[in-house]
Amino acid sequence: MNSINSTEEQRTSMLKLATWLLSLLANPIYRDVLIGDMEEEYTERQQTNQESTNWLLRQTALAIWDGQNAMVKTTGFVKVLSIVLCVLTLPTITFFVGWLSNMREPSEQLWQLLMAGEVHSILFNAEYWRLAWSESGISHLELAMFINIPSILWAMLFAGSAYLFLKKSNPSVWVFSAFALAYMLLPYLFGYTLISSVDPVPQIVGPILAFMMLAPFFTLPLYVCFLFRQFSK
Amino acid sequence: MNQKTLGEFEHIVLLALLRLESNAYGAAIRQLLQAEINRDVALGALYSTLERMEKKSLVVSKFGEATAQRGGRPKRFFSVTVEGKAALKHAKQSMDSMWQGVVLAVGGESHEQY
Repeated sequence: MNSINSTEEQRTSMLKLATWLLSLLANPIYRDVLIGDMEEEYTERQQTNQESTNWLLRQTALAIWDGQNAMVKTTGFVKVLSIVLCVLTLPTITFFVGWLSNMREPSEQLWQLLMAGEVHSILFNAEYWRLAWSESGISHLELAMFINIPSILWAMLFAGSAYLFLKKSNPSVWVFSAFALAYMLLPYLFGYTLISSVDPVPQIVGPILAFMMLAPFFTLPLYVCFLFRQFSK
Repeated sequence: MNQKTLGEFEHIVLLALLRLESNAYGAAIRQLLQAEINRDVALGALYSTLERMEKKSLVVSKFGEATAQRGGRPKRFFSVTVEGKAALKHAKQSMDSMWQGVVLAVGGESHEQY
């Protein structure tokens, strides 16, 4: 008797867990009827001694997958993602530019990385972040450090082409985001390829590095503006 | 008239709705597909398809009453629209036409003519 009660309790808690998960993660458009259908069929399966627990788990997992898949395609999700990208990227670039502009005597290894245009190797190395913080922090930032004509022109080019792209093609939010992402990554790829292939003198590497970092810095906020303006619904 | 084309699963679901008549809701459709063609469909995938077909005006839906068996949640009944029936008819005609004269060799031995 105790065993029957225990199994019954387990089934009830499984159903409650599935219902709770679905109420959070299933597609809100049909969430309620889907939970109702699932509960109805789960009860029927129990009454007719059909396999029910694995069925419930599978249905729940697949419904969550569908719900999340639909959520990822929504404009709201892309907007949240773009804001997160802004919050992470803009302060990072600001801090990095401030550090590089105030740098006095870089280590040999750091100098080699900069001369090779490998900014990504520096950005993803925690040791350099500690060094940057101890050297300059955020106290030595000036507006002049961010004035870079090629980057500003690049951002203006993006604004123009984004306007035309949205007007002529009426793209989906993901296609437009991919378009903007290409504009943000191209300066870095261009700069890195140029430095790697031409091996320019240090006086030339500086402006190229500035373009690689500041072009996305100006392009990203413009992308977010277009995103919120064009995909307002 | 711009005829709407159907995917394979849409085709099957529309036929299930016609067979279930006034009792075509999620669980019933799922069970019919399981019983008739042994296809274990996920309810999430079924509702995604029904939503898509409703947007294409192939089906319409209405909510039933909430019942205790469903935890107080309503059923959503679907029915095929005139456009849905026309799309089904067109799909059947296309299939019938394409199957004309086709001979399938099954397992290299038996032959079946449609």
